[in-house]
Amino acid sequence: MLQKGQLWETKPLEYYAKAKELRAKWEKNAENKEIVLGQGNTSFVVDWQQAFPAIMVMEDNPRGSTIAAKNLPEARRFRLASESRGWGREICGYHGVLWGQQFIGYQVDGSPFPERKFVVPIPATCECHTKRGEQCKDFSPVPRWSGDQCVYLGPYDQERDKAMLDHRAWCSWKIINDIERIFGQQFNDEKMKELIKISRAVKPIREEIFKLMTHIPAPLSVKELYSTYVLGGLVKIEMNELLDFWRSVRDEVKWRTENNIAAVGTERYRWMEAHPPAYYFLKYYRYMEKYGAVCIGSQYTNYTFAQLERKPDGSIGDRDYTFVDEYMTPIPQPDGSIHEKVLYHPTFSPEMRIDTREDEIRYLDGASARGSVQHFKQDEIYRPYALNEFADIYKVNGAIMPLHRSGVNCTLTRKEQAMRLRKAGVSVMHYELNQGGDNTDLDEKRMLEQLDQWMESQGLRKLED
Amino acid sequence: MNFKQLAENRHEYAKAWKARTGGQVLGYYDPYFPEELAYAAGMLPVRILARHEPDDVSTKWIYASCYPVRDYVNQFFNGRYGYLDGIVDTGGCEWVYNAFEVAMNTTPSLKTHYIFIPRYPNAPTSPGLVVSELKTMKKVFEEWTGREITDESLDHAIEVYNKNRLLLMRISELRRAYETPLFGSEAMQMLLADQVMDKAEMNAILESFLAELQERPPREDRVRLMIIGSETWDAELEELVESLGANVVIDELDNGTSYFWNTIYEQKDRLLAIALRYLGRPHSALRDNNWRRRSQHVFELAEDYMADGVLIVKQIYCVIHGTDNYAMWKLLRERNIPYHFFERDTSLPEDETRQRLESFINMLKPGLVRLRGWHEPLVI
Amino acid sequence: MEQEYWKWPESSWTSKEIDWKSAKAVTAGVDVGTTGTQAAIMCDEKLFGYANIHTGGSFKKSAKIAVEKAMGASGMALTDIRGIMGTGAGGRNVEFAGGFMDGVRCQGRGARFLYGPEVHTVVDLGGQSCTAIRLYDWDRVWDFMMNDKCATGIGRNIEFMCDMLQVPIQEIGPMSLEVETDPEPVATSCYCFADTETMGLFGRPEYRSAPLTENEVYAKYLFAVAWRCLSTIGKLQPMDVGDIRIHYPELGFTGGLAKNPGITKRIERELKITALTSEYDPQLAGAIGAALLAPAETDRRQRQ
Repeated sequence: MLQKGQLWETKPLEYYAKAKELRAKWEKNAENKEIVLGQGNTSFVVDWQQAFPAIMVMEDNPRGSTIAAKNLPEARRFRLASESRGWGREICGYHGVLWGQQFIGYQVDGSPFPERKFVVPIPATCECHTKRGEQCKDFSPVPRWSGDQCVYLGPYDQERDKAMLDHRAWCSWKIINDIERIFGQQFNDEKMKELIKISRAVKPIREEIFKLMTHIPAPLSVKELYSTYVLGGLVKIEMNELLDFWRSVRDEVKWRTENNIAAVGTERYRWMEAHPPAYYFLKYYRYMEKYGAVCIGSQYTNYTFAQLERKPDGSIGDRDYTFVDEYMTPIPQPDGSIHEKVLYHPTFSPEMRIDTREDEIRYLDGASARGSVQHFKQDEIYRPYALNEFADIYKVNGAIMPLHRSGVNCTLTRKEQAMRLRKAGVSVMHYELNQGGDNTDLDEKRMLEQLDQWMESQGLRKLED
Repeated sequence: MNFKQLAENRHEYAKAWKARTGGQVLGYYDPYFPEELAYAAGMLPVRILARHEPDDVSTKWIYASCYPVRDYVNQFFNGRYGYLDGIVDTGGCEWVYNAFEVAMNTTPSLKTHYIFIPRYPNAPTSPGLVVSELKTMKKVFEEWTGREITDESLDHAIEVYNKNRLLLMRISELRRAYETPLFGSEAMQMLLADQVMDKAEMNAILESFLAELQERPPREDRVRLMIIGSETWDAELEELVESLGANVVIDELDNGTSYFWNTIYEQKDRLLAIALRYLGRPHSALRDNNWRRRSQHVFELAEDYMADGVLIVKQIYCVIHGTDNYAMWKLLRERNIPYHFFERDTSLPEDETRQRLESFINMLKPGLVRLRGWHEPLVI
Repeated sequence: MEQEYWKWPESSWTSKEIDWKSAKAVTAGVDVGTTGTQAAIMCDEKLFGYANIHTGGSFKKSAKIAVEKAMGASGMALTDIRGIMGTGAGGRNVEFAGGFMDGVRCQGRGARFLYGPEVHTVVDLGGQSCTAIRLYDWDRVWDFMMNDKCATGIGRNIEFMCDMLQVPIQEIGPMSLEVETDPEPVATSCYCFADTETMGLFGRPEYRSAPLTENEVYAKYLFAVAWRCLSTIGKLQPMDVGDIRIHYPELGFTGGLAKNPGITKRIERELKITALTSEYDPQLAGAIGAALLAPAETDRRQRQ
């Protein structure tokens, strides 16, 4: 029976319980004393750390945002600690919060901050990770390795691509081999191959989910996406379990679309978001639902695993990064030999043979320097109309583009993107905040007033009024 | 030599150069741009500098960036850089990229190129990557100018640039002495002028300036300061420091001494030689990754130039220096070098900054700041 | 006449016990700030007279009025003062001063007079700036830090907000402390943001079950100011180099905001310390410091 104002039937998600369970399991894993705890980002493609027997790499962003969302006073204190050590106020809140714990010496729950034994700040997602990861080594001399975020503009250039990929492959190779050497842990190539196999299996499932997301009414809204985003991309769990989890998510979403089960029963207006929201003020998603406006995601959520594009025939499909291309790159192997082999790309293609460690690393780094591994931000660099495409595919009416005062990548090109969207007929609202992990400047009341005005300008009224 | 005027008249200079030679003027943002290649192609590479102008455009295009980057956008839309034939971005900081992107997307007639210089310059694969990027850029420049970049023209460019760096280094060496004849503001103006002028022409000016400096009487010894932090585009801070009876003897700024600090060692593969110079220069905070060299470089400069204290000046919203401060503060504290940190933007709030500087200089040498003679009669 | 909520009381005092004519050294310091001007006259390093007034449109006039008030009816004339030192933002405009000394040094010296030799950290909460000063064991500045370019923590803005909120400036601090638990502060990076957010707090947004009380609003606002000051204090060099924890031993507040417990108590609470107290008005620290530094400077400069 539909309530007043409700257009679609709705039902709680079943995969939620499993998601929570996986999350708790991961948290528990991190407490294991035997594990060598590192800091940084691994790869979105394959979680390579699992091929080591006891290595755990913590990500900065989800940690920082969780603390900022759950404990405002402590997050504020941690940020102050970072600021006192010289960090500017324009530094990304996630990092300010997370590293503030290190500077002060205790964590948000009062326990001592577990010092990181190494740092691997791969600049994927946001290039600034490289710079922020620096202080861990400045703080105490631990090994540090970083990759490089190579990008170029213009058409595909095989030569440039190759040089960039070689550079990146070397950086990744160095990380894995040095961890082996320094921490005396053997990188299990067989396990890695297994992981790659699973990651190949997960990839199409995720794509399918995001294709289903274009359905009206939206089977999942951004709130659900954030929970799966964290699980699938950032939280490291056993890959087989992950595969099962994604399958169950896919099946549920499929069932929902087939039966027109909506995430938000009142859906009558679809809006997209650009980049991280104010994690400490997620109330506004619910507030918007009072107008029947549902957020169907952002590049931050939807681009992580599948970037869809409109094909020339009008259909929607995964973005095509494939450049079937043969080349040979020697990389020194741990035993000193030079491995020479012709590699067949593209990434994720079932044809790519994975025999050696080099193959594994090249798979990690992708077939194109500008491939999907680079995610959302770099995508905008050489595809200025990326967000317009997003709006078209997900059939949105409006967009909220937060303007972050700190965190470069959250704001970079944001104003231009808004102009392009407006030109394409998508109404855009901006609001100001510091950053997803920093509530310093968010005026909650003002933001809600802005939302009211925006919604009214879109001809919507609060459903309960 | 009036370097201030040379730096201020940069637009007129570039326009006159263009009219005189018929060549193309190429703008760049980041000092990691290998200018030699552009010079070899017969172009005039000029550094795009921020200036103090009321900004009425940039907020439409850009949000929360540092003020110099806003100013790039503002100047671009206000036609200050209308004479540029092309712009090259070297993958410097992301805010600069935003300015580049705005220029690229709004002016299709402008030639643009993006060259990637690695953030991790010490990787063994970095030279190969930069050589590949240089090869691409060489092709692009040849296409733009319709002129082949031969080995001879590259050799010539390298020679001119090396000579320029050598002259700047020799002039910089004079700042090491007590009672240096060269003050910080003049040195900074000289560097700014150097970055917007034809190097061959500048070399002649520098040679005569060097001769002039040898003749110059030594100046009164004062509190010696060092400046590190974000780039600055004027010598206002140096002038203010001098008005308070101190002197900036050395800096570690991207557009300061880091611009000329190392040189190109010639080798058969010219592009590799150029790549190695840019990968081996004292790294800016942005590219000083993994194996830290910046801290050591700052310390050595402070010691070599006998700096009494260090001013750490950060542009507001400069995320790179906002992060690197931690290492710098730690280093300076551990080595017992006094420092003062503050934020600025393209304009320097004079009174507020003066209060800081007075206090800092006084802290280093109490009683040095004297605005009016104590012995003067009291006026009631 | 309508009440002017922002106006803090002016004061002046001249000693009747001290005979200035028999004093060996009579010196004066004039601290011309952006919101308040203070003058202090010292006879043999003892406070003889002071005045604390609002800075008007003219720094010159304010300085003169302040010194005249401090001299009071003692019969002292400007020419009787051996050294007069100007300090503060407008300190250079003190026409009758023989010299000028930077604010940090004067605040540090003045704090030593106010709080005794044990004070090592001085926090000057001024009208337009917040300065944290670390002193050596003797009267020298080890390190200091001034607030960032855009900051919530300035006294002038509190005057403005008191007018907007219609609460007397002396009362806002104690009232803000009457809350059970301190709510989260308003915006801390920009006073425009802080002001607008504070004014907006009186409404009742949907997500809040009950509207905030007036005291809670004041608490949120003053906490933001205090928090901004904390970041300035935190950037001071720690006393123990190499120790990552920053210590705040013996701290004394100076400046006009030092009289606002809504700010000082919050800073104390966050730093887990109790600040030193003094029988003198903490706003006088700069002027007293300048007066105390005057004879040494006179001698040194006369020797030159």
